[in-house]
Amino acid sequence: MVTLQSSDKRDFQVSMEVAKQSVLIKNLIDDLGETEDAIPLPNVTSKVLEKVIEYCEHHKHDPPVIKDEYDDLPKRSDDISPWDEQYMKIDQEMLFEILLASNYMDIKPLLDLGCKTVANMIRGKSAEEIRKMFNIVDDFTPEEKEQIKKENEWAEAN
Amino acid sequence: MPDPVLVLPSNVVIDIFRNIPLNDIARCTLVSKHWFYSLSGWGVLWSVIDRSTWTCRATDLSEDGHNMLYTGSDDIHGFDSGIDRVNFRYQQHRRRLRDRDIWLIVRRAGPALTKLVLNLEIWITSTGIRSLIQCCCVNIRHLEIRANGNLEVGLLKELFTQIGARLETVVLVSVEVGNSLVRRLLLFAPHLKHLNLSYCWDVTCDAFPPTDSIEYQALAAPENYSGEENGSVKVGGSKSPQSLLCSSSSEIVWDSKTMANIKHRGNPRGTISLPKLETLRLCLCRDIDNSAIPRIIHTFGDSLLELDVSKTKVTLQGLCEIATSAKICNFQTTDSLHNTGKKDMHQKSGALNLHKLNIAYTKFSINANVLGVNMPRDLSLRSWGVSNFTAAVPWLTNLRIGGENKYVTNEFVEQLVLNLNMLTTIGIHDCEKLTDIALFSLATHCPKLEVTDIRLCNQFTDHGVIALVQSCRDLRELSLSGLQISDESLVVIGDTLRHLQILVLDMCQQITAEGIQSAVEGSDGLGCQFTLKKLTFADCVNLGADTVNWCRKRLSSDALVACMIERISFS
Repeated sequence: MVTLQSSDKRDFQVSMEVAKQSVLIKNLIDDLGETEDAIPLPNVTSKVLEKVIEYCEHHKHDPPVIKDEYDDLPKRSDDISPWDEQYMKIDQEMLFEILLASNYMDIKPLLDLGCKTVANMIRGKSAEEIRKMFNIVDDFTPEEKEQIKKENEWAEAN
Repeated sequence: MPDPVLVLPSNVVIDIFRNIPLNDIARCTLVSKHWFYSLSGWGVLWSVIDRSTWTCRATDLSEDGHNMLYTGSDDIHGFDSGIDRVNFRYQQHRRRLRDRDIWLIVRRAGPALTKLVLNLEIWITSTGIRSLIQCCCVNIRHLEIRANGNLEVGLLKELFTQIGARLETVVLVSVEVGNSLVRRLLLFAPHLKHLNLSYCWDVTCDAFPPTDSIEYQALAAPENYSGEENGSVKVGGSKSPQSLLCSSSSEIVWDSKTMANIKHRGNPRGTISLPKLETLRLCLCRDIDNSAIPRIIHTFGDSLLELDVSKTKVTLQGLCEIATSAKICNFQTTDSLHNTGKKDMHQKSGALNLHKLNIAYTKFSINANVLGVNMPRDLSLRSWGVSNFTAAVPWLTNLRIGGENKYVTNEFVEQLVLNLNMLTTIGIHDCEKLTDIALFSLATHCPKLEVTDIRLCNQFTDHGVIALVQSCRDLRELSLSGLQISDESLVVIGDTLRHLQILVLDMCQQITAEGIQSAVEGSDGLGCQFTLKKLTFADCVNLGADTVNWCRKRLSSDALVACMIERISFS
C-alpha cells in the first residue's frame, strides 16, 4: 500500500497498482524505493484526489496504452467508454481541477479523457456559444473580427 | 466556468484542441484575442489539412436519408484499388478551397505540417502548393492530391526537392505526373513507403530504375559529364548527395552517372538509397506494360507488399516476370521454393513479400514468344506460366483478376489458386467464361477467404456458391450481384456464415423475401443478423421496401440496407 497526501493534509491509502498509474508517483517509488511515509501532492486538493483515485481504481487492470508512432490529429473523441462518460459528469470547475491534477500527476489516460470531454464541449459550436459557455469577453473590434472571418472563410460551409 | 485557454497549462490546451477538427479550431480563433493568438501560434494544431476529418454541423448537411447513400455496384474499381473512396458527401456541401486558404493554413502550421490532402480541390493551383515551400514544411509525411490539372510539373519537382525528405505517403491521382517527376520523387524522398500514381497516364516503365548496367549505360549521359568509372564519383562537402546529380531544374535520367550514385545490389558503395516502397499503385496508368514489372520488382522487391497494376497493359507475361525477376535479384529460385515447406518460404526467401496484387482489367494474352520457348499454344503452356508465378508469391493474400476478361477460364483459376492457399481476398467479377468449376477450385484451395467478389459471372449457380460458402466459413464480404442464384444459396449463407458483414445481392432476380429472411435469421434464428453491416438487393424484382423495413428491424441500427441505387451526383 502507498499513502498519498493531498494539499489539505488528508491521507489516502491506495494499492501499488493504483498509485503507479501516476507516472509521477511511479517514478518516485522506482527511484526512492517503497516508503511508509505519505507522498505529498501539494498541488492536489483532497476533493480532487479522491476523484482521481476513483478513476485509477477503476482502470487499474487496463493494459498499458501503446502510443501510435505518429499521433496524427485530429484524434477520435467519440470513443469514450460508458463508465468514463459517467465519471466525467461533473461540474466544469472539477473538470478543470482534474485536468490540472492529471497533468501534474502525469496520468495520461485521465488527461486524455479530460481533454476529450472539453473538446466535445467546444466542437461544432460558434464563437458566440463558446464565449457564453466559458464567460469570455469578446475583445475584438469589428474590423479585426471582419479580418479574421475573412481569413477563416474556408472553415465555414456555404 | 473559467476560460480554459487562460487557466490551463498550454500543453493541456494543445491536447484539448488536438481533438478538434481544423475547421472548428479556425472558428475558435474568433472567440477572443487571447484565443486567436494562442491557437494560431501553435503550429501543431494546424498540422493536418484533411477535409475528410472536418466536422459538418447538422445544418451543413441537407436532410438526405444518408443510409440510402450507396456505392455498391458503381464501385467498379473494387474496394482495394487505386481509387480509394473519397468522402464525396461532405465535399458537395462545402466551398472549395482556394490558394489563399491553403496559404493561410500552411502559414500557421509551418514546419509542423505533417499531412496535406487535397481531393477534388479543383481551384488549387501551383501558387497554393508553393506555400509549402515558402513555409518550410519539411516535415510533411503525407501528401495527397487528386484530380487537379492546374499543377505545374516544375513546381512539383521543386516541391519534392525541397520538402521530400520525410515524405512517406504520396498520392498523385489524375495529376499531370511524368516519368521525370517520379524519378525525382524516388531520389529525394528516401522514406517513401506508399506511392499511388493511379490515372497518371504519362508514367511508363522509365520512371523506375533499370535492372542491369547494360540497360542504363546505354542511356545518354549528360554532356558535361566526363565519363568516370562506375562507383568512382566523389561526393563532396556539405552538399547533399542528390544535389550532385541534379539542380532543381535539370532532368533526372537513370543513366550510368545516376546509377553509380545509387545504392543497389550491384553497387553497394552508392550514396543514395532509393525508398523501400511497400505500396505501389499504378492503376489505369495506360502505358505501364510488362517491361515495368522487372524494374519494380528489382528495385522494390524486398519491401513491396502491395502492387496494383489493374487496367494497365501488363499481361500474364508480366506476372511470369515476377517469377523470373526473383531469380535476377538473387532471390531463391522458384524451384527451390517448391522444395521447402510452404510456411518456411516466407521467412526463408526474405524477398517478394507481396501480399496484395490487383491485376483486374489487364490483358491475359499469352503466346509462345512470351515465355521464350517454342511450345504449342495450349493449356499446359498457360498453366506453366501461372503456376510459376504463384509459386513465386505463395503468401499472396489479396488478388483481383476480374473485369470483362475472356482469358480467365476455369483452368486458369484452378492453376492460379493451386498455390495460393493463403488468399483472403479474391475478385473475379465479370468473367463470362467461368462456371461453377472455378468456384469449386476456390472452395477446395482457399479455405481462408474472407472477401469474395464474384459478381456478374453469369454462369455461376447455386451449386458453386453453396460449395464456396460451406468451405469458406470466415467470409466477411460476399458480392453476388447479377448471379442466377436462388433462395437456396441464401439459406446456406444464413446457416453457415457467422462473420458475414457485407452481402451484396443486386440484380439477383430469383431471390425472394423468404431467401433474405433465411440469410438474416438462419433456420436456427441466428443467421447473419448480428454481424451484417451492409445488405443490398437493388433491382431485384421480387423485393421491395417491405423487405428493407423488415431487415432494418432485425439488423443493428447502423447497418445499411438498400433496395435501390442512388447515384452520387457531383454538384
